[in-house]
Amino acid sequence: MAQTYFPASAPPPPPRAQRPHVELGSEPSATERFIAEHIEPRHEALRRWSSTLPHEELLQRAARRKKMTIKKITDSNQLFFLSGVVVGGMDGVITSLVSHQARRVSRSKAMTKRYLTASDVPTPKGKAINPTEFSRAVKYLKSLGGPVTVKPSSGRASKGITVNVTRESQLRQAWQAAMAARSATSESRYLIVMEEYTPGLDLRAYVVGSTVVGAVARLPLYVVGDGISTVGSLADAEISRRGPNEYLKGRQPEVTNAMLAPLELTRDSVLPFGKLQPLSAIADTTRGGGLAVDVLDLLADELKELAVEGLWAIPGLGAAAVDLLAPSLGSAEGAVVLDVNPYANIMQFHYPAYGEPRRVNDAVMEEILERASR
Amino acid sequence: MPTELTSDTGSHPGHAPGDETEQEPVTQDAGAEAEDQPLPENAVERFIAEHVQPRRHEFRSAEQLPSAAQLLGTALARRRIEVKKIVEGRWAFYFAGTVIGGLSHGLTTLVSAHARRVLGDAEALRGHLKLMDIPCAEEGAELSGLQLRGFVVGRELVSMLALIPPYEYDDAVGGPEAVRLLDSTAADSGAGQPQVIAVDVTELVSEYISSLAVDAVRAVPGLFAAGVDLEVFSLESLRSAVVLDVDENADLLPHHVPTLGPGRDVADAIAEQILISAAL
Ligand SMILES: Nc1ncnc2c1ncn2[C@@H]1O[C@H](COP(=O)(O)OP(=O)(O)OP(=O)(O)O)[C@@H](O)[C@H]1O
Ligand SMILES: [Mg+2]
Repeated sequence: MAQTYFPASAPPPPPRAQRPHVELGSEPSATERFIAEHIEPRHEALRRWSSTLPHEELLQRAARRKKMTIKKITDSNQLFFLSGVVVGGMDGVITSLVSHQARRVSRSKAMTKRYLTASDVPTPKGKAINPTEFSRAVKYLKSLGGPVTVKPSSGRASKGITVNVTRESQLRQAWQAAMAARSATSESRYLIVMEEYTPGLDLRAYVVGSTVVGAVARLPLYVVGDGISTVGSLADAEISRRGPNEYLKGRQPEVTNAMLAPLELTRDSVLPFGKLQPLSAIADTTRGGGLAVDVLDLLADELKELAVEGLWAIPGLGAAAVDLLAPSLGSAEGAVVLDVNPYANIMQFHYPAYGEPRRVNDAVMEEILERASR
Repeated sequence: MPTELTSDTGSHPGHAPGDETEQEPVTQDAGAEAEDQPLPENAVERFIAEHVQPRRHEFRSAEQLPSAAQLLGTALARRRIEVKKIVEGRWAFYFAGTVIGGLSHGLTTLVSAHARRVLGDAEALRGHLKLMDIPCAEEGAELSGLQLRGFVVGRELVSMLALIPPYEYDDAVGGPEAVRLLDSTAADSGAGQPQVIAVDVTELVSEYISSLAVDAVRAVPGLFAAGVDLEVFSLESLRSAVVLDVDENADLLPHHVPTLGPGRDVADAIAEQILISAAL
């Protein structure tokens, strides 16, 4: 007697139209090259995470694996014990590997830049300017003599950032966006950072001690034109394809005409066959449909060293995400450190859209133990 | 006698952490005997009669004192640690070209952000101490014993001071009864005495008391240098001893130049700990 485990009536998968091969323009960006070389060939290999643990739980799990006991004093104040001794703890999302000084520095992009510069770590040339001093900003734009990026000094999660600003009218808009997004609780709430626009592949390395234990490339939501489908339908298809991925599922945007307006596209636009079209200027992996792709094994040693130097430029910082912009994965030539962020969520490294998960949590806990034994 | 204890075993609490196990258990008498005797009410007076009054002429006079920043600067320079100013109030410490620590708003990198948060809230600190079974003062409790102020760096008590108010002493009476404590805020407080007399008792306190100080600091995650205030009823015993406060912002100066006693180089211990923490 035949037993049917799968309903015999299930329809066969629809014959999939061949995904168009990406045709890069004459001067592709580092991000476009990365997508064409490393993502499109394995487009179907998008990972499906069927269950995910949030940041804090990833760390707690690693602590238990190391035989630590966790005591919660309050929801945001937790302690890690080993053999009855406090070896470390967590204050909200940050661990005790973060010094008071490091936390204060990291709240301000302008201040982070100062520390990076003091340690000769390459970072885009820039300045923090008071929002009321727009005329100074205009002058600075002229003096830099090239495109700039404008962002709130206290910003997080890519909010209020405008890249590639060249004209005064653009600067004015960027200024308003940065002001609207600044975080009201930060000490540097009144500052706007203006810095050289240094396009490159958006990399986030997680550094623990002097080791890069995870690295992802952050890509914006993009579609590839087929000469027929509208941008809206391509975007919707891309987003629904992410449904089975528990990590991505809740983080997708609604692709509206408003979102597409800065790109001079609408949902009804049709892209030429093979055209790679990012749907946002920067990779927003928080809610903008950006993807984090594991690149740990692809990252040149020089870039890893640069990331480590970035972490080490901040006094008393034992673990943090270091954001880099790099023209290529293979060398540190032209690469810069943008940001050093101890608040970074480690989930991206555990649940990348493509590639291998990296156990950042274990490395962090090991470092906590190591430090406690010094 | 605590002095004998330290010379016998050669284990100054700040110098021989490995020796605790060989220590004669002092609590044996300190703890047990204490149970059936009333708690001495005159801990401060006894301390003064025994340890302060006999050395009254050795009080350090007000002199040109260095600042805490200078003390730390000197200690860092001695280790060829370079201090670079980033902006006003923020410094990075470089050793052989690498950042090994820093100072920001008066706090070194031996203080974690987590520690700072805990210490900003007396209730949170009490929670941490209680979790580690460390006796601590209840909120608003009145001080009736002797107040000690220690400085812990890493796992060691580097300095311990006894803090006492100005006093008068009646030679004709002698002993603890001869001591009359003065109100330190009173304008006419004891002739030529500072408002608070800080006595270096680092070598006088028992291992049990220094351990209490160290444990209190270690109950706070990511805290590798801090002051700790205790209340004790004798320099030997833990009986009724409680932790009053852990202070990441404690001033180094009184430890370096107490009113009475040699003083301890806390800045030097901090510089050393910063190097250790960097683990280059
Ligand atoms: N100077 C710059 N040149 C080019 N692109 C930039 C520049 N600064 C920022 N960007 C782009 O904006 C993104 C976010 O920048 P940044 O890290 O400064 O902001 P954030 O608010 O901290 O965002 P996140 O939390 O995602 O790191 C970068 O990943 C990069 O793509
Ligand atoms: Mg950032």
